[in-house]
Amino acid sequence: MEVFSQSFLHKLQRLKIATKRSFLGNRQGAHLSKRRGQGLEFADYRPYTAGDDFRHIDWSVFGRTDRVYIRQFRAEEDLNVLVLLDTSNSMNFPEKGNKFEFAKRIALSLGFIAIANGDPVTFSLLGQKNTPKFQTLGILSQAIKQILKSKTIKNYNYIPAIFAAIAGQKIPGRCFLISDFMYDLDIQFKMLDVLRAKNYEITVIQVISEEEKNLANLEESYLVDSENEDTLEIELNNNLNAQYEKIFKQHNEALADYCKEARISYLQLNSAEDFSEVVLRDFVKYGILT
Amino acid sequence: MLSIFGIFNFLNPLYLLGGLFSAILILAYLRKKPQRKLVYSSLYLLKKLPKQILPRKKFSPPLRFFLELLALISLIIALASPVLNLPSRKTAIVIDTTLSMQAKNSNFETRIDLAKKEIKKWIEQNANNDLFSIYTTAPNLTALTKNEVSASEAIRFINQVEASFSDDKAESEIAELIKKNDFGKLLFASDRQIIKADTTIDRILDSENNINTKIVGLYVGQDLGNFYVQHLDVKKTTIDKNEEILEASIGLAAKKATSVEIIFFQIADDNKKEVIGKNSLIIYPNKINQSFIALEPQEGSVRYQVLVKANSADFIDSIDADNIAILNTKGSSNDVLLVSDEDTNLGLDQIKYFSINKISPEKFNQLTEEQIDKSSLIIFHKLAPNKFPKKSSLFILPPGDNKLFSVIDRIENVKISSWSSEHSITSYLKVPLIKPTQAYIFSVPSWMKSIVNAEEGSVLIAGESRGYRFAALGFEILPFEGAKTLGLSVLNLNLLNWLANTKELSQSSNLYYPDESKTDEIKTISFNNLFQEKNIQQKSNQSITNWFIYLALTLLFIELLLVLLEKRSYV
Repeated sequence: MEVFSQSFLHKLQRLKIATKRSFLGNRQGAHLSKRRGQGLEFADYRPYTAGDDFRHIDWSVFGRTDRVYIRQFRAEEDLNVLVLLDTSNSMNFPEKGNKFEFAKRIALSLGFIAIANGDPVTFSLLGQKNTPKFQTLGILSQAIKQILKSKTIKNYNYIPAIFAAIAGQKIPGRCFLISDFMYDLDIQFKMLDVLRAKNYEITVIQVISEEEKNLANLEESYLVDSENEDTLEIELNNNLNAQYEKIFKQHNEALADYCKEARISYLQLNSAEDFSEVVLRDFVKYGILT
Repeated sequence: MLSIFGIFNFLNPLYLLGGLFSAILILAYLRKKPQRKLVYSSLYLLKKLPKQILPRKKFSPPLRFFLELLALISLIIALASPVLNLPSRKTAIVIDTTLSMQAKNSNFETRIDLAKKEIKKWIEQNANNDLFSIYTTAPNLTALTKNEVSASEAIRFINQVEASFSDDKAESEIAELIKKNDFGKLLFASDRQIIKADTTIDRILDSENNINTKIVGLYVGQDLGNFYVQHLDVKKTTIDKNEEILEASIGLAAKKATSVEIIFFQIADDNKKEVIGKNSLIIYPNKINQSFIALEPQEGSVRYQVLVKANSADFIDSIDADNIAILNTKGSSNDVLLVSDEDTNLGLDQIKYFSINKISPEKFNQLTEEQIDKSSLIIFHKLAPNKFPKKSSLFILPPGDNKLFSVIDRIENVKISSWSSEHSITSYLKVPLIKPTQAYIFSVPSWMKSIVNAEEGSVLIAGESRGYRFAALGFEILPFEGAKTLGLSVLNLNLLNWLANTKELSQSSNLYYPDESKTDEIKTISFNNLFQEKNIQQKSNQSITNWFIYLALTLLFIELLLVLLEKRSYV
């Protein structure tokens, strides 16, 4: 993985995708599952039945109750990780500190962490294609090349794209939705509702650029929408800037509030920053990784 | 041609329709984005901005637009060939070259010299890059310059101007000159005042609304006194009719009498002069003043000359040329110089007492004055020199553009209407029998008389000047055929006799005062008031196409600089 340095990869290997809930897995893994299994974490007592392993009999309970109970443990299974990457044209901005390039690296970082912990990961380029489930690093490297080469597309329907992304997923798990969320809030909420309905533990990662945060950073005042080629000429001044900041803040706060209510993790990232720093610092800080 | 506010004219006004291209330029800038566009991620949030925050679409073009528009307009105007209506750069200088311009002033300057001097000063002071055309007036208005010339060239031409012995028709000809040309100024130097009401130039020009030329009058007339020889004759004395006297009559045009010295000469065959008598005389204006000397009897042809000189230093004689007279007494033979392109003597060798010497015009031009002086008279057949020779001359059919006589017209089926019966040229002649098929009509100079007239004007004029007699004939009388063409032959003989024999000097007209009674009206004109101007509007065109081309190029150059500066700031 040439895009990541060796030292970064070493650091990534020490991280683990955090979950607040337990999910069913496919195989034995590192995450506590809802299933009873051979894990280390005590789950429950069950009356002994013939054939149970003697080593699991809780003798203290027997001493207290004169009944034979065995300790049940939670199974440790792998965690299905789904990384959804918004590939709309709005992500391909700006030239320097490109959101899409940033988002791709965030997505790959998450993927690497997942696989390093034995968790399968599926990448979905929304509106374009879904990669197969990757479980080993060796195969992952092929997908990485594919993802790094991918380009943004114009005007795809978000909702059908989400449905298409989760269509092949039998078991929900951890879902990372990486986008700039510079579109209608209703659509955003509907997308998240679809994922919530499938019982995913969702983390919304909003990637924005400096030029989107503050219009004063714009060099030109004649703007063309990358999605639909609408045009707008603005007169760069303090009044405009103040008004825009207000609208921008309101929009993002609306999303954050929704996520909060829906118990979805929300994280806003600046594409101008170094993605490796973001992953190692902010993801851990905000509980996305442990 | 399109005229705007009377200031600009456009020679190719259709090109102004190219101004429509400026609309295309404006449209291009309306469509053109004022700045480079930026593909932004999403305008979703920006479109939520209140409308008053967003700028209205307005046409606020950059400086470059105005530079391009001005450059385009300048080029279109340049294509339309604009010209400015400015005072014309063409100036005409007309110099009166009539005989009276030879009169001198108290500074011993002739009027024409004074005129030339003042004209040159005027040119130097008023040249203003004008172009000049030089004209002389006598006998006709004649251009000395083929094309307009610069000030320095004009001065060179003016230096060559000399007064002639002819009259002119300056007033009418100058008016025609102004009408046919677009002179900004016309300077007329003359001893006649033309800038006053009711003169011909004023009458003609004021009636024309679209021709205006600034006329500047240079008046060089001034007080002058002049004495002149009226007669020189050999007479028999009344006391003893066997004795002869040489009598000279002297005229005086002045305010008061003056003393003169009269010198009589006898001229030998080798042209050597011998003083044969001197007299002092007080001469009076408006009177016949006579002086004489007794003559020794002479045989053969004898030539006498009289010269009048002022005795008093107070009196300045204006014109020297009229102070001498020559008298040829009739001798055995008169040598006649026939200047002609014809191969023969045109029958003149049949005439007794006249020895004909025919030469070509080219050879005549090579003759010296001494050689010419050996002849009694000269006949110019169908040609004329540029100035009067110092010899009595007959001009038969002088060319229409000759410089000595003004030919007004050429007529056919000539009908003789009147003649001067007292003149010796018409003696023994039944003039009406002369019926030339065609003839030139002459304008009669003041010093000549009309001898024979057709209905249309004078066809034979004659006069005396400086002691010489001159005649101009507007119809052909040669070849001399004797009795075959009796009328013409008699006329021929009369002309030759009159020209050759100055014994019959007639009462010469006053060469310098058409009417002697008006000598009291001579006024002294101060040199400071020589110039009089008549301010009349005039127009001409000066092309200013180049101005607009240079303006367009300058604007485009400035725009190029701006573009380079913009690109540099982006880098």
